[in-house]
Amino acid sequence: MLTKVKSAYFFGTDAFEVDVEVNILERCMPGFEIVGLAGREVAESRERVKNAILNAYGRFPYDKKIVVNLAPADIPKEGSYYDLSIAAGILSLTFAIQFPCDSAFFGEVSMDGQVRKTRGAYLFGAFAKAKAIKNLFVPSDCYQELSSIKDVTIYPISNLSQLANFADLKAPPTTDLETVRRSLPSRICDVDFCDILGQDTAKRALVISAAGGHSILLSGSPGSGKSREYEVGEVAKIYSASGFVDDLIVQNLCRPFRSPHHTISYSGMVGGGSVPKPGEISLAHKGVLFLDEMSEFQPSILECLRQPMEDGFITISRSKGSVRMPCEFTLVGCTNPCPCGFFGDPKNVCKCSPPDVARYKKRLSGPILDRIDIFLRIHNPAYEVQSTYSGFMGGGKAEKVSDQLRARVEKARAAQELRLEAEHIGINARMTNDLVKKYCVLDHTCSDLLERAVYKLALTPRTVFKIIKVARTIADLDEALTILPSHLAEAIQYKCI
Amino acid sequence: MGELIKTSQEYPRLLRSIKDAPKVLYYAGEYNPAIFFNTLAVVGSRAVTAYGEWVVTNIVKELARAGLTIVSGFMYGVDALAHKAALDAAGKTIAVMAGGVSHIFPSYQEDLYNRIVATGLVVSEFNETCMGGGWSFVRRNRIVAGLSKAVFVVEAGESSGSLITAGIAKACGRKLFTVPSNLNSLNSFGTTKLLKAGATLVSEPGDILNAYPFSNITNNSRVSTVSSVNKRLLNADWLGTFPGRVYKKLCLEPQTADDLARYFEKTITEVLTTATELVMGGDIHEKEGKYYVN
Repeated sequence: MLTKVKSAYFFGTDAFEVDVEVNILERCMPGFEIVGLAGREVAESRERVKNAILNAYGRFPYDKKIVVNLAPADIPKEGSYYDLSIAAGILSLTFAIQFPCDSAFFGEVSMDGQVRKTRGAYLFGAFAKAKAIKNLFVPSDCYQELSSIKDVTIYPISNLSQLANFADLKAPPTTDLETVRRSLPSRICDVDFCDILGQDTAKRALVISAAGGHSILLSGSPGSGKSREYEVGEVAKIYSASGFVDDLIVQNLCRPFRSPHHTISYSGMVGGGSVPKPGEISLAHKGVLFLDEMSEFQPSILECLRQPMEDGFITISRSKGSVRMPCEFTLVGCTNPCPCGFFGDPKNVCKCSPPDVARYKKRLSGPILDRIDIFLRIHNPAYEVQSTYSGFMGGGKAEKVSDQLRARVEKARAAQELRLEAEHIGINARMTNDLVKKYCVLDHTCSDLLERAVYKLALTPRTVFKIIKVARTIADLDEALTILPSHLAEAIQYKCI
Repeated sequence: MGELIKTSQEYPRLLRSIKDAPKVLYYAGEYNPAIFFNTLAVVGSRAVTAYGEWVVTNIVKELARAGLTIVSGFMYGVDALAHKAALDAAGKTIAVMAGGVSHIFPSYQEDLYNRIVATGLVVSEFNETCMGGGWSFVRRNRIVAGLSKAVFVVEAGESSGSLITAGIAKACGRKLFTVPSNLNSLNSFGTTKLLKAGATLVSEPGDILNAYPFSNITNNSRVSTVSSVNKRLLNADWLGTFPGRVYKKLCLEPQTADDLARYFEKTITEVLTTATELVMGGDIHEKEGKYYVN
């Protein structure tokens, strides 16, 4: 007796079809074998499946020889998500359950017969849709994640026993994403901008960065560090809600915010492994990659951000194949100005010699700095600010300002998307120089101001484009159609060097 | 490259008069006896503040332009700024090295070293590439003081090398000049101490120039006072405008954009826009997140 069900094999963010062939032989030495280059997790699924079926159905064909083949047999299979397909094959033969011929299974089972939530459900759903597989059996906990997949019948399974009457399965209630998104402010914004004392310039710059997707580098003394992180965390929340829910991070319902530690490895940052897994830069796709203590990262790891920042994707090649993963992230970096951290600090004396400071600054290479739009030096807020000042953005009152800012950021993002629709980029930061020339036409006063700035501050052409891009975002925040001199003047102060 | 023996005619007369003058003074650069006339040592903290930098670039530059030879110790901070100020004013300068004359330390100041060798003099009591050490920096100070008619101390901490130089200078009967700093600055300890002990307070270049005989100074232009730099403060109409008010505030004390926004109750946007206007006009500049008047 032979049956075949479908599953998939993941390579990076790509998925390939795998046939799970289950054969039960009557006159043979009893046993249970999985063949087809099954990795350790897959081989171990024998015991999980056996116990799960026993616990869910009360019996298991011990007396027969079960052979499972994962075809094609020359590709290594990894992961625990083949459990459900193997169990389904055995059940279909043992209990004569007829699955529709176009069925694919995904999910890990536990010993009591429950089907567990498994990583990669969305990838599987997208794969099923692409291959026009009609019926998809997934863990019920993954159902919400797949709610945006259309044209595929999804059977949410919470226990193996449900497979017997799968036709009667009812979909668990899912929440409309739009509703969830609207409910976000109260849920995730437990910190408000007005809770952060002082640092108005930093707040403003971060709002601009959030609105236009501009990379930003903050440098400050150690004392301001806490508030910095605080702030950036806050902006992540602004980011998250500012955007439209990205399919790939459906579970989070917000833009990703990744903050790897500076001891991160090369593969951890860009992705890797013999079967490439996405790195932090891909996990931060459409969101924020926050590098605290940016100067402490290994230079070689920072250097490998160059190309992805430019291209918006990373190609990882390994002996088993190469995979291309998207990584359009906004870089938010924090750093100390010098090894002791107090260079330029009014209250503390810097103990570093000028060469120390220069060497520390050199840790961030020119090409990386070239890709950062906004530079900001922040100082500890003065004591009187900490004690009396509650932020002028909130009008001096403890009024929640983040919601308001988010609305402005969202508006600015919408304006950019509309303008850049034809270019298939959503944010000002991704404009190339040609696009800047096309979409950011400067009037006479503006170009005059810029020309004077070039002369006075010895700006490079690349810096000029960065200034124009930031000015465009400031104009968008102002809901202005064209860039005004005041927008340009503000952008120039964000030390676009 | 050459050497001056203590007993020879070429050996600087002022240096010879101190108690433990080096027996041989090695030098790099073009020897010109005139460089040892009208010498002024400019010494100060390595951790120079924006204020110290302002003093050196405004006062010392004027002194060098007037014809004084600026003597200093080639260390980073006030020393390096003083050499640069002299070179920028096309004046004369002498760098006294703690190691041998060819041993460039700190090494990243090689450009400055080359500039000094080209137009001024690099001297040391050590030959060639002798490394020197912690002790030689202190010994170097006696040469700095010995070469100079007077010592000008710009910013000095509580126990700094500048005070050692000043002490030697005083013992040798050289005149001491200093500028006051804010009392809450660490760099004010030394200078305040010197002022209390009777050093001459300097508020404009003339205060120092008056102590020098001007007979052999070719460029005998009288030096303008520092306060006249702020001509803009005379323009009452302009001071009433927002940029003018910001400028006036910055004349009191350097400020961050945050400080300004809070003080004037303006948005960051308005402050930054105004800052650009002032930077473009050459009135202020930005450094490490703070705005300073030029």
